[in-house]
Amino acid sequence: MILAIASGKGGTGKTTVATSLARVAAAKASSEVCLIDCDVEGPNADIYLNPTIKSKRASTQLVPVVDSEACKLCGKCAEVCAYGAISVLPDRLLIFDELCMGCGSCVWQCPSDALSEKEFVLGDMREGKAAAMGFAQGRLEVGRSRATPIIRDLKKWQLEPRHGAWFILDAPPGSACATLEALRGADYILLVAEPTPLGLHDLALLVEAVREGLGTNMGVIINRSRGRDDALEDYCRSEGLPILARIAFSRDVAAAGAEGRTLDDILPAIRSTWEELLENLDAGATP
Amino acid sequence: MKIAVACQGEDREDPVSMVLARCECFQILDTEDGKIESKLNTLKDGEHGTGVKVAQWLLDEGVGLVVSGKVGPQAQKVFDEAGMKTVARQSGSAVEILNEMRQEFAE
Repeated sequence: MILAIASGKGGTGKTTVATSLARVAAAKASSEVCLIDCDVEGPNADIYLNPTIKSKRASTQLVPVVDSEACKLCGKCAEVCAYGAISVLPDRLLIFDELCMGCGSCVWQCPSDALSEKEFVLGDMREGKAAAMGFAQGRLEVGRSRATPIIRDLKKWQLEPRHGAWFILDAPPGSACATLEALRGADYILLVAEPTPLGLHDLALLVEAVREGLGTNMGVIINRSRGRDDALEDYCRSEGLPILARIAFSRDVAAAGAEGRTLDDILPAIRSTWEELLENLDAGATP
Repeated sequence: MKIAVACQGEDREDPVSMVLARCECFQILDTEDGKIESKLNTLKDGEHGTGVKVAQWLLDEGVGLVVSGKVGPQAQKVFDEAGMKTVARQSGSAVEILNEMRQEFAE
């Protein structure tokens, strides 16, 4: 089971839900539970779970390197590059590693065999254990801008060899490439939403992106609920999205969360809600 | 030498553009003959690496001095490495700026 936790707007409580859900799952489950922090631009699940990191590996992509002896400055490489990653100066090539998407067209098209490829580090990935739970995260290197390939690498590294485990993926916020990469292949998506105009606006963007791009089933968890969250509830009803849980708006929850406590520790009552949700998901009973 | 001003419109009297890569048009002065040519920026709606592509285009046009409100980091790198000069101007029409640059260049 791959369960992804996502939100359109940042700061709505994805990590709060993901970490507590993973802890509840790990305390109950007969199978292995693994939390994967896919928010590689700002991973923070480790702050709540205090994992012991056991291994680390780089996430890289290929970028071109030029043999300036062989290069005739014909400009074919820059012409075929859709990303503007190569500039042809009067005396040499200028390659922008950061703009390159690693497609390899320049190398393939070079008539002088002057281009080859080297690895370019985008970030790193770590795996370890948090009590009985498996834990992994990706981290985008400072100064880099491409989160999506790290998320792809991280999922490949973690998901493939542990078939049959319960994976809880903490996705990056938003509704763009990185988020969809994290959500791709999930069996179910829990959308954490807050009942604010911006929260609703960004939730709708994500729902639209998932429906158009992935078609995965989704349900909503309302965080910072004021009891009656009319606009958000109306939206969920009209879109046919089930509201699976509500976390009440509370200063105490925020204060305890800021101390690094997980939601199941702050609000023990949430445990039964999460247990029921997990059981339903396991049984395939959630719409 | 050629001097290019990133411009908000097709007319040389139009104001300088605050951005380089996504400007509407370039007004390009050839200091050899004093002629000003207006060239539409056909790359301005590109999705990726537009700064580098526009800088490459200016380089290929033989431009040695580029004026705009601001230059992005990638385009600036191309200009620096290619030995092209950049000047920042946030106000004035393209033709005013070109005349000013021509005088400075002549001195």
